[in-house]
Amino acid sequence: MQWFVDWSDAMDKMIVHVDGDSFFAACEMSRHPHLWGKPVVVGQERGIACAMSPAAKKLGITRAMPIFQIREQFKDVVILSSHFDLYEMYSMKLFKVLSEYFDHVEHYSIDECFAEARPEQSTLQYISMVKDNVQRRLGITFSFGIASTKVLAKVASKHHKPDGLTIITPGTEDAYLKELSVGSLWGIGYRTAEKLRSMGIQTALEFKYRDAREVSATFAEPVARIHTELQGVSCGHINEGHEDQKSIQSTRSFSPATSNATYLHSELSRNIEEVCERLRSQELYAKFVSLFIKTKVTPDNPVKKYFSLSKELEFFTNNPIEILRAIQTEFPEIIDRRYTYKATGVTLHGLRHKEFVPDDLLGAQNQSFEINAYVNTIDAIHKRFGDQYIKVASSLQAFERRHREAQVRDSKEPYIWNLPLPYLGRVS
Amino acid sequence: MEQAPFHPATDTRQSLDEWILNDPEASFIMQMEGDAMHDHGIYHGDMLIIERTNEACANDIVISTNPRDLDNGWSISTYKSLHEIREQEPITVHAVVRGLVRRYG
Repeated sequence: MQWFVDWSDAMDKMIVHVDGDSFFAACEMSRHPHLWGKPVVVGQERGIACAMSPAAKKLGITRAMPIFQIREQFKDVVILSSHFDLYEMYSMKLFKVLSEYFDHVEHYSIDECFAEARPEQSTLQYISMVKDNVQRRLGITFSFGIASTKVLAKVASKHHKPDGLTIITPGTEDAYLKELSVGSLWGIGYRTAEKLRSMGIQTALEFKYRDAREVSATFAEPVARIHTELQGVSCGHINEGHEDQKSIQSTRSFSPATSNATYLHSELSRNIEEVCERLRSQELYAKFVSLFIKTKVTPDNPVKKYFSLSKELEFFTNNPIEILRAIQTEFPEIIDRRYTYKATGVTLHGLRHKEFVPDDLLGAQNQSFEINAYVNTIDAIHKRFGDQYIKVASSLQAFERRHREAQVRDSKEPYIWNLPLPYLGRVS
Repeated sequence: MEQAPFHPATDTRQSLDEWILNDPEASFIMQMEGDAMHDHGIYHGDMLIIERTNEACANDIVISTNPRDLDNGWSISTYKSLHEIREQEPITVHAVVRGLVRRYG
């Protein structure tokens, strides 16, 4: 095996992609040795699986599978609630450790980082050392991919998972792209993949060898950029610092399906509370809301349908009551009584960190901050007593139903400790 | 890892975290349960600052698991006391104790 590859002639840098293995599940399990090796699913409070341990994946449990269904089909699976602020801490640890080893690191998402490796750092030896170091200090595993561009580095980190380390040496890309469906490339969405398939492109390799002019004439610029990156030509750069999330989402399935407007509103309300809680834990505020309800497939309605609604919010907010108020008149209008519905979802967009929320001329945004300060009190009560005590009234119906379903309760121990204190001097 | 020096003239705040942590990224907190470490000055209820590392010394107090008995959870002991047990059991050492916070009353 060649341990040192000299790429200094060919290029001046390589891209490293680091991807958490079953990240949320791994963070939870690292606290509980008795769960190691067992099937664990995270997402109890959202009603769908957000993350699965390798053993749970092996059973066939997939992302977004409803929790009630997992309980029915897999009796031995341990189901846990998620703790986003805990994952955020692990995420920052990952970013900081990588920053010790690479000059430029991008905190791309909660469980992913990109880094720029100099030629002498793009060796198996160096990357293994970084990987061992990250894993030892965090106590969870990551998959590393190294290639000449971000798109290819993502292909590499996905190539061997979990606990993988894949270096795609320039010139050997095709072997990795041959088996890869074009839809699993980073940035190729469902619709684009459909369109590519209709053009006879099934694999990433077939896409790579399409004529660049044809690609840029047919698709928008982001797709053309992916095509260029597949050639080994880097289009993006490493965005240093923590890039704010652009949107945040919560989807919940329930059973039985219903067309009862009050119940649907209640489910949606739970979603909105959930996303707002996550926003507040990161001091983020949203300006836009979109929501959907999803129909149940029945013999009469064999095609699943989504009905949706999008609105701009008056102010940047992370208060569920403000968001519920913004949608209250229009939401009942999207419910088509000819169908029954089995899931609701909400996405908040236009996220800004508190410090970057623009103020308007009349100071109304600031006023809105002040009026909404009480949600922080609610968070404090949640932290102290658990989140079952205070709910938005409209969520109660959905919440009670879920509460009855809950079989695995998390312990009420804290999982993060802080200690800021004044210092009184020495004692002898 | 180098400890940030404290300048009383300019710094009005010293983070207890920085003072107590040797390697912040590898540090976690645990709580002592039971009297097993009484002889080493660790009492029931103490909060332990632990650092994930694979470099433990004989006198270090370490956090370990037994892969054959994971239901037993985390164990705490001195590193040297593990030598004998390790001849029979495949003990994994995860971390060493770096600090301690105790509450009286």
